[in-house]
This record gives sequence, C-alpha cells and structure tokens, in this order.
Amino acid sequence: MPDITRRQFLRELGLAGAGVALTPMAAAALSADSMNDEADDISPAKAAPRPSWVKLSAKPTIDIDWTAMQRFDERNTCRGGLVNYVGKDTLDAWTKMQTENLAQWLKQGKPGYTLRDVALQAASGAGSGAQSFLGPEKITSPQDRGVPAWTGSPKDANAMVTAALRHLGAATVGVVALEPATTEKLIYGFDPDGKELVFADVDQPAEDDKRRVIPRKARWVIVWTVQMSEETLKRAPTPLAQQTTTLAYTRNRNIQLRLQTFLRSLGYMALGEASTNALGISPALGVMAGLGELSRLNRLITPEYGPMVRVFKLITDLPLAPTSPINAGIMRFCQECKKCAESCPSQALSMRTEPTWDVAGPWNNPGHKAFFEDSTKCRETWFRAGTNCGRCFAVCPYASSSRALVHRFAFSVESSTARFNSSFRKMHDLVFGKAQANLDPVKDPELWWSLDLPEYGIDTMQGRANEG
Amino acid sequence: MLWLILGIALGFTWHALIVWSESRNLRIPLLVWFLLMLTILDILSGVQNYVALNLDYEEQAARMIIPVYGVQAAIPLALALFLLWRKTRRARW
Repeated sequence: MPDITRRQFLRELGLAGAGVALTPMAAAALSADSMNDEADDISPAKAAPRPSWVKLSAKPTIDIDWTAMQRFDERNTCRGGLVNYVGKDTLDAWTKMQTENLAQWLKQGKPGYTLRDVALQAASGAGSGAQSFLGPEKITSPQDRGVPAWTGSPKDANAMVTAALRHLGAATVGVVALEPATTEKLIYGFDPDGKELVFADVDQPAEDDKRRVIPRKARWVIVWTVQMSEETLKRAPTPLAQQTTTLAYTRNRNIQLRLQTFLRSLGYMALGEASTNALGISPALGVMAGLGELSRLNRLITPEYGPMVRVFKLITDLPLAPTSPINAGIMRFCQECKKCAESCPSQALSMRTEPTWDVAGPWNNPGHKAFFEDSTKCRETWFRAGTNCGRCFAVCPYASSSRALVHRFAFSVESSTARFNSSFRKMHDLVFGKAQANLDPVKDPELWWSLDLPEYGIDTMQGRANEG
Repeated sequence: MLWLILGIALGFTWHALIVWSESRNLRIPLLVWFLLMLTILDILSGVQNYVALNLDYEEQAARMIIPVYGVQAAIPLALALFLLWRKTRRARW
C-alpha cells in the first residue's frame, strides 16, 4: 500500500465530497426547463416549467377543419343521450345488469367491489361546493373595497391565475383565446341541462330558464387539469378505481367555486361549468391550451401525468395571454401503440393506425382528425363493470410517473422520433404485461389499502422542475 | 443519503484506482477510463431506476431493471478489466 499523507488524504476526500455535492446540482440544471426557454413565447412553462422534452407548437398535433365544426350540443354525447342511440329497452337491461352485478360482487367480496371499496366510492362524491355558471351570488368586489379592479399585463395575469389555481388544487394551467371562427366552436351550443349557451354583445353575463349569456368581451378560457391518483386508477374498472375520478370532479367543484370567487374579487367575470362537463369540450380546450395532446383515448394525455387528469375550464374577461399547443410526440406514439384499444373490454376504441375525419357516430364532434370511438360500446362496459371503467387509462404507457430515468428517456425519444415507438410498446408489454381485453384490474385492488399513498393519492411535485 | 453514500464510495474507489496505478507505475489508457465511466453511469442509472420504480409501486419493473442495467454495466467493466490485466501483464514483462 503506497504512503499517503494525512494532508493528501483529506485533500482527496474534499475533492470527492465536492463532486458528490455538485453532481446533483449539475444534473438538476441540465434537466430543468432551460432547454425549453424561449424569450418571448407565452407558455405554461413561464409560470410552471414543463418537462424539457415538451416542445411548443403553433398548432396542435391533430388536423382541424374549423369550417366543418359547429358548436356541439352536449346532449348528443353518450352521457345524456345514450338512450337515443341504444333504445330504452337496452338501457333498462343494462341498468338491471349493472345492479345485479354490483350486488353479486359485493356479496362475493370481489376485490375492488367490497364494502370498503364502495364506501370509499360513496365518500369521494360527498362534500363539495355548489357548481354554477355565474359563480357565487355575493362577492366583495374591488369597488366595495374602494379600489379599482386588478390590472396587469396578460403575462402577469397568467402567472397570477396559475399561482392561484395551483394553490387551490389544480395541476397544470393554460389559456385559450376565443375566436368566433375557431376556438369559440369548442364552447357547447347547449349545456347538459338543455340551456343554450349564447354569445352576445352585452356588458354582464346572465342566466335564465332557457339560456346562459356569455358577453363577447369575455374572450379568454382558463383551462386546468386536476390530477387523478394513477396508482388508484390502475385498479380500474372497480369502484375503488372509479372513486379517484369522482374525487377529481368533487375537488374541482371547490376549485371552480374558489377560482370564480378569486376572479370576481379582482373585478372580473368568471363563467364556469354549471354542471359536470358543461360549458365546452374539455379535452379540446386542453389541447388548444397546450396542456397535452389528443390521443387514441380521445381524452387529453399530458406530458406530466399521462391521461391521469380531469380537465376543466372557465370563461373570463380578465385579459390573459393564450398558451401554445404542444408537440411531445404523444399522438404520434398513439398511432403505433394501440394498447388502450387492445385492452378495451368492448373494443370501443379505434384500432386504426391513422386518425380519420370520419366520426363513429353522432356522439362525436366532427371537424377534426381523431381516433373516434364507439361510445355506445364504451358505455355498455360501464354498465357491465358497474363503474366508469377507465381500463384504457390504466394501461396507457404514458400513465407513468416520470421519476424513473427510463420513463423520462422513453418520453424524450418519443418526443423526437417515432423510430423506436414500436420497440417502446414491446418493452412496455414485457415489463407491465400484454394488453388483455377483459374486466380484470391491472393491479391488485386489495393491495391498494396497504399502500402509503400521498394526499389524494397524487404526487403534487410530479412534473415540476424540482421534482425529486 | 443513498446518493451521498454512493458518491463517497465512488470517490474512494476512483481514488484507490489512481493510487494503485501510480504505485505500479502504470499509465491507465484513456479508453479504460472511458469504459469505467460508462460502467459507473450504468450502475448509477440502474440504481436510480430501481429506486424510482419501487417508489412508484412498480416492483416488477424494478426487478427487471436489475439484469438490464447489470448486463449494460458488466460489458464495459469486463472490457476495462481485460485491458487493465493485459497492460499489467505487459508491464511485468
């Protein structure tokens, strides 16, 4: 063993220690959003950094023909309009089947359908604020406080709204500018309760028995996501998994109410969803706001959370800066992957390789190229499973936390090139199991109850620049 | 804490290798240093993925990562050790 003096030893130790201390900092700097930094772009990145492999884009990754698009009547979706497509007799039979299945599985103690699972499902829908188009009746306005309404640049307004929404429980936030020839068509023509949504040259919004009036000066849509628990939804299609969806909606009722209170307290109008999924097409607005891309699921897939989000929106006259759509290679990956479609118990999702302009039925909104689904088949599975299924969400390769470098590496490569997409799909099958079109949960529901999950089952640091 | 311990361990190993080569009057080629760096990167990457996948409750994926990164690390390490052995054998002659 060669002679080393104490001085030499300590010097080497110091150098080693400096290396250990500096390496994580260097790694963090390299992985931060500095690579996505463009001086004058307005993007969610400015208020909340995005993963470095997300590129901003002038247009979304799907083709849109705005001339072929009309403002959609929400009652034509399979939510309220299912009886028109399958008939009352079929719907009654499905309802009977659902009731019998749930009762039988509860008595059998089927994992995910046990008493504690359905109790949690019931709990997740309880305790939320009122949901309304106009917002709370009584607000202390700036005038009441003796000050003018808040003013600031659109960029400052974006940052302010994002900070407020994040604090209130939203995950990511974006903005869409309403243009009559284009994005205004993403606002429903009729809400689920049958009230018409009307744009008018008026000063104040209004609502009566037949209509909800949106002033033309309310030109900006704030769009945000609320996380669902990825670990919980991987127990789809059980009630245990469904409750995370319900919980996201329940949490959002409070988020919307508080955002409306915040904006009205600043001196601006805040026109929200009058009921679940009202006002406009959430995934479409999410795509236009750059929160994610449209996918084979026909729902938003986000870079940060995959499909494990619910999307919500609100119209305001607070001048905001629109945020750009993104291109993260997600829709392109969907063309190759197809795992959700292969896993769908009722083959409701499209197996086409290329998206199409041709809708699958009147429940789809024409005017964009997509992997249109047969929503009636999807709904049939809902009744069979007794829940809102969600198996497609559970098997999606993007439904992965980005903590592991192997996931970040895959997402980065998928963002840049499609060359390895089929290989990534095969690797996903190897590690996480092949696609199986059945009603079996991807993960063990009983095991969920022993996991040490964070609050709401979500990681609020996921997707942040300084995540661990 | 894991990364601190790993960093210290790597630092000592690196230092020991330098001291050993100096004691044998052996000049380690740049290629060997590069191969050892690759090995270290593979090991660190494997550890990161293993820990992160376990934190994400993906235990099966975490177990599969071990042979993947193990093989990836073993190849440059084996090559580096072979080149070192060959060099020390020549040095003895």
